[in-house]
Amino acid sequence: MKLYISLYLLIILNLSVSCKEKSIENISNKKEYVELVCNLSENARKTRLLEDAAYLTGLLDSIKDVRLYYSMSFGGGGVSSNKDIKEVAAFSLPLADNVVSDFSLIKDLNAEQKFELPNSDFKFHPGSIPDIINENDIKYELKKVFIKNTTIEPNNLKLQRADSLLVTANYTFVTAFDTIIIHPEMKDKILYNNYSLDVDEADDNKIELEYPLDLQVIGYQAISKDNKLMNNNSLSSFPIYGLNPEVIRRIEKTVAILKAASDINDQEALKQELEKIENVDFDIIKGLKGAKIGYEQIKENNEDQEILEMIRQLKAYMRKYADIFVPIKQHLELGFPQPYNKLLIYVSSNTRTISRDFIATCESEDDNWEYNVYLDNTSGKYGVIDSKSNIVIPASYSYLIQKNDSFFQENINNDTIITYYLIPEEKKFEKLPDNIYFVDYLNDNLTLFSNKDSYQGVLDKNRKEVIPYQYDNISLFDNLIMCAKSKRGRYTYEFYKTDGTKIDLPVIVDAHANKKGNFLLKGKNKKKGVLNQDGILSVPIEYDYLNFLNDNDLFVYQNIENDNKSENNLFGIINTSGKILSQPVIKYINSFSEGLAAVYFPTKSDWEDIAGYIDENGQIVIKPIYSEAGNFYKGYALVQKDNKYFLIDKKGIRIINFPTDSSIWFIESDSEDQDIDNYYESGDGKKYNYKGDPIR
Amino acid sequence: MKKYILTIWIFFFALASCGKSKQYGVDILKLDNFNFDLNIEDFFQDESIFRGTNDNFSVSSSEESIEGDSIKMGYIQYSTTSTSLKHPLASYADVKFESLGIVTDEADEKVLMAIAATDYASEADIEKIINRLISEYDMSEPIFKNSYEGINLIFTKGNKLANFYMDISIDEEKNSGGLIEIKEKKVSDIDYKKIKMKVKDKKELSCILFLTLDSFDKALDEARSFSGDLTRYRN
Repeated sequence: MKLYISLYLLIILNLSVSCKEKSIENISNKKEYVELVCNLSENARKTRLLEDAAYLTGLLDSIKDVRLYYSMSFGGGGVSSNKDIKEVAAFSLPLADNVVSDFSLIKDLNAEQKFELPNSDFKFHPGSIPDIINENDIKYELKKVFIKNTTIEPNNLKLQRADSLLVTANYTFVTAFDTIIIHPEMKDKILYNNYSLDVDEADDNKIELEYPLDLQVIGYQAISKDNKLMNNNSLSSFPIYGLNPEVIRRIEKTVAILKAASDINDQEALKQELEKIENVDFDIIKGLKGAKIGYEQIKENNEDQEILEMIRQLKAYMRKYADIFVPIKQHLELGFPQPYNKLLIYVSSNTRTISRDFIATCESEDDNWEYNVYLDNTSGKYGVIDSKSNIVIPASYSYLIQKNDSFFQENINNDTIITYYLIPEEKKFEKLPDNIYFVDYLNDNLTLFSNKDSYQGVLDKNRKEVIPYQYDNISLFDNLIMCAKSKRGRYTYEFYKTDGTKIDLPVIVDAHANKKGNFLLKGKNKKKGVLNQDGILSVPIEYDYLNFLNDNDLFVYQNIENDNKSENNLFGIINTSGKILSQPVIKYINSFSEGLAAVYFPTKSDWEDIAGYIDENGQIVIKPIYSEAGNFYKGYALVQKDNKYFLIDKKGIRIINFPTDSSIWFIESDSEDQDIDNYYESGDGKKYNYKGDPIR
Repeated sequence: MKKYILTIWIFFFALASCGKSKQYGVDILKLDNFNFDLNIEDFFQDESIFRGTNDNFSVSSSEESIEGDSIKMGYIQYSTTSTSLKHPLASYADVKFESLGIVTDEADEKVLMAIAATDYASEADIEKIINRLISEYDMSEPIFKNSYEGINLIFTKGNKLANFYMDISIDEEKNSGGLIEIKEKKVSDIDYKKIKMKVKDKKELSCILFLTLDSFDKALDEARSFSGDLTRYRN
């Protein structure tokens, strides 16, 4: 019975929806609308036209005052400080001659081609730019395009790959400015020429105001209560979006046409009047209606959403309705360290434009591509071209991003990501399974992806699975791929060769690589070993202690004796081949510096050790005869023997005795300046340079 | 015929229910008469809780070790690092706990300890827990934290041990020389009045219930330091 009732209601509801009268709200083109209106009886027509005019007026009114913006401000937040502030220099402009001269110093220009139809666009990157030139104010004009030995007009470029370009760079800079002075008591409108600056909020040391977009604000300062000029300590400036004035104009024009038409009885005259509405107006009405619904949804969603999600949704909304909502004003928030008497807003009152021609080279680091993405501006869709500019995949995809020559990702509405594999010989995309996302490009052959559960795996350039989707993290180190896998929150590590061969190892709970790609491994039994860069377990996992001694091949090892007495637990040296270079006879080893490391050997005395030096191959190159041995610095090392300190060179030859009986220390300069040297200092306060000469 | 099918269905359902193992975050782990027989593989089968991809919970685990004069052992400590009040993880005496920790042996197979914690226990909840502990275990002796930050009541039964920590300040008693003393082991004789006074009208009291085995408790005696919830286990 219930089913019958539900079905009945559903049918009624459906019928009522289907029967909804046609109007300007649901008609998408002019022809259909004119036909509809002209076929109505006189009364019905008048009602229709007036209702449609009222609908458009209501639609416009409902969204006319919407203002969209998001801002995140950083800085001191205009927090007032009780401390005295230092007066700053008054705002000034660079001399025009200096600007002209510095603009001429820009040596080169690089152009990054964005492949587009009907014609490619370029993004320009000037070489080193002098400080007084603002890169954002340089506008580029493309004059000629050079491809090999031919010159073509920019309008004929299409998707062809340019080698270089003739470009005119126009730089507009401010040559004079006016100062708008705002007093704290001015809390409403400030008029300057034909502009109005609206104060939103103001207190002792903060102000928020809005000003027209074409007013060029170039600086701001304030004068404190004690007449000191101060700079702002917080700033937030962003555009405020509102309904496009052109949209408002067109809707108001359409309303006027509909009202005028409602008084016309003659069919021909009526048709003529309605023809004044343009087809684009129907697109605008559709867009406005969608914008209104979207805005209401955002308002509703915002109530229980995180701020970042709100911003994401707002950005997506603003992108979708970019024609409906445009920047209409600039919002400025300023804070100062102390309350102000006067706020000074500097605005441009005169500008000058200078120009230069450049030959811009079209080179980038990623120039060796075989395939690239292009945008067809007529459809707003993306496709793929090859390096000879032939279309491989026609433009039929939403925002497409090239990950490498094999894999591409399509972002649909910012929410859905689809990954494609390019089969160039068949000129088609093959969709990878759902929810497979590109993570990183490992090398020419291997690409890292993650699946819906965030497990990572590796595909080769033929989309063959080289490493399965089982790992939390995958990294390539030269010849080996290290894969971290977690189970119940604890990691184990597995290794693969780049061809996908898994290396057979016991369970590894910790792994670190050195610069050469050798891995220090720790097994479940807490013992350590070495997996060399060729994937061979060259040092078995049986050492209690094992650590890198240098960035190349040396490791220091130790096996803890059961009695745990430190004199029995000495260090030895082993290399990545597993060859023991030193038995465990070393008490400790300093880090390497300038190719040598001091090694200390125990003596019969508990209190005295004897030190020498080993080289990067683990060989003793300076015999252990010193009671102290420091690191080498600029070719010399500080050593102590028979209670005397002196410097030796890398052959162990004594270079200089320090003329003091007190202790000497090597002092590392704490200056960040690399040119300021480290030095030696004696207990009596005297300082010596790297070769032992006194520093005065 | 229909009856027959229904009977089989009910029987099958009953069997399925009995055999169903507990799972962290899905089932509320009932700690009344806890027998340390949790299947860790099943209990922590959802890897998302460890990988930060679960909407409600986040669990960390670490390998720890105890080395002392008479003992050398490793154990694995699971701790809830992100909780959801809407989704309690454990219960005891019908009191819900939003945080649950588990300690297992080195092989990660046998449960050595369950740690249930809440920051929102009411006076009635505390009373229910203590009464239930008294009925389930034998009363042992109370422990006062050295820092006077709280009180631990210890209960034992066979090789099982319950340690109930309450975040009750006992500074006043210390200063006035009137530390709470619970000497008698019988419920009726114990001076619970002072504890009751402390928890009276409290709505959001922090408490932790540790259930462990005698052997692990002894091992913890030799541990030099504790981390996470275990810092409230010993004075």
